[in-house]
Amino acid sequence: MEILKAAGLKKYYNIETNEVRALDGVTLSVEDGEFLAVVGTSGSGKTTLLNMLGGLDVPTEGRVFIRGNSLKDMENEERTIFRRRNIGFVFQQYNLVPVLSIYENIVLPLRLDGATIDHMFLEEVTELLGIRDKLDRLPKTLSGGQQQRAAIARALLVKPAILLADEPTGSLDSVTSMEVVGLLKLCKTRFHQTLIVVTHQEEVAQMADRIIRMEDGRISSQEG
Amino acid sequence: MIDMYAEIAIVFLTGLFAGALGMFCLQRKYREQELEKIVNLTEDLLNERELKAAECGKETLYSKIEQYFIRIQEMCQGRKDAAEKSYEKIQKLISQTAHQMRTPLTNIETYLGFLQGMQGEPVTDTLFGRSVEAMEESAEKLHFLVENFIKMSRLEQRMIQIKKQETDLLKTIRNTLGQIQKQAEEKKIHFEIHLPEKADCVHDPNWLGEAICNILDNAVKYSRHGGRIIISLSKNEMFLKLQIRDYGIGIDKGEETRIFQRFYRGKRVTDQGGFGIGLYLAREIVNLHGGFLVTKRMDEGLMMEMDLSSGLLEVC
Repeated sequence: MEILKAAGLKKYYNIETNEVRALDGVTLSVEDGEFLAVVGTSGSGKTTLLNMLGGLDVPTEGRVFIRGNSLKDMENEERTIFRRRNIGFVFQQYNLVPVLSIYENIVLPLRLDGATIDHMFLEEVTELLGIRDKLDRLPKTLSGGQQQRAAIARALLVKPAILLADEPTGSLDSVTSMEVVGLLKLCKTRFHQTLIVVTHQEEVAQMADRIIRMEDGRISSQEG
Repeated sequence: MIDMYAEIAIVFLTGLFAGALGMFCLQRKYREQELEKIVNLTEDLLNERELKAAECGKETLYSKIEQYFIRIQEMCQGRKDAAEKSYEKIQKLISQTAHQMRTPLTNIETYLGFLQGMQGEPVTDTLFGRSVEAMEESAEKLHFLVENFIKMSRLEQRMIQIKKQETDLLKTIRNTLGQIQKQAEEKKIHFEIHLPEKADCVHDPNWLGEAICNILDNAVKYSRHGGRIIISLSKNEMFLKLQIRDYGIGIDKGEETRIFQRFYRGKRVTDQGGFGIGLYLAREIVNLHGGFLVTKRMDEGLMMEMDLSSGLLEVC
């Protein structure tokens, strides 16, 4: 079943007199349960694409469909709720709330949705990510790599249908990177999730079912 | 005066009571309608009809229930599909293996019968030699088939337990070179080996040896007659990098992720034997060691790169 579809996505910015084409016509179809890696140099449009797919940003042209529902045609509130219920996002800059403890950060999306917290799963995930003993600390007292892992735990805990991760292993050493990708794959199989990861690391990309290479806002090739 | 107040009070209270009763009945009707919608959802779920997200963007309890049911359906269906695919693949493998075992077995039976029939009669050395050679070849093929089958079933049962007992990586690599020697000599393959004086890495010598052997086996198998294979081990502060480069048939563009998938055989493979589990197994083993395996397409052939942490220090 096709769970995600992007049709002719374009994102143009007009900065002063220059037109920046972040996305220049991207069409993509993702099957449910697939692990997709998006690879490309910086400026190729990977993050913009991920933001479009996650409904965090609206394209200039084109549409994104999740389970056949067009995100663009939703009201703002509808899109927010839809996003909260279906999508887990790991940001490149982590985006943890600085005044909340790591534990509170991780459970925040669940609390917002009024869902119950699966404590066993939380323990399991934080243990595997190596941050279980840091749950009561504030984000600023953690290293970049630890904060990134907290952001990953936050996204995983919701058990979303679609997990979008923007350089989730960027601040991690290669050994931990592979462990994290292993964990993402494990959760993907267990909860039948669709995983889309933006990465610049070739070894992470090769763990995926399919690799999409981007260049200048377009898909230059697909592998797998 | 009091009567008027009493009247107003009675009217007011009656009105309040009527209103409350009305609200109660209305609320009950809404609840019933909602429950009916939920019953319909559960019925659809039970009857395996695809659920439609009718109220996906609302902040209501019904919307949440609908969402959860859709997820449950997706999860169940997804797992079922994955299990079916896996089952089909394994069925195919079992029948392929059994089918391929027939020929060498028949060969052995034929030559055995042949030699038995010659009992009492003088058998020339050449005849005897040829028969033995033919039976040896068949026995080897059977051995190969059975070994692969065992590997595959171990994988399925998740019986891969890594025991990091060895630190001398060079010893393990040299062992695998010894194992692959005969095969390489038959194809007149020439090895160029660049190893450092010392290479320490905490690993399981049996399993990691098997992983390296699988990669070497592929390198030899897919190399042309008289080809060469370059093996080099380099180290930096955190990693040991083992590179195995062959100049053989290589893979097509886009096959880099696929070759690591279970039962996948490269598009350029013609008559080389194999089941497509060597690289899958190798990567599992390397990952379990906390390392990673990457492949790079070259102009000619393939480069396999294995990065292993030296493991002597714990990195957070």
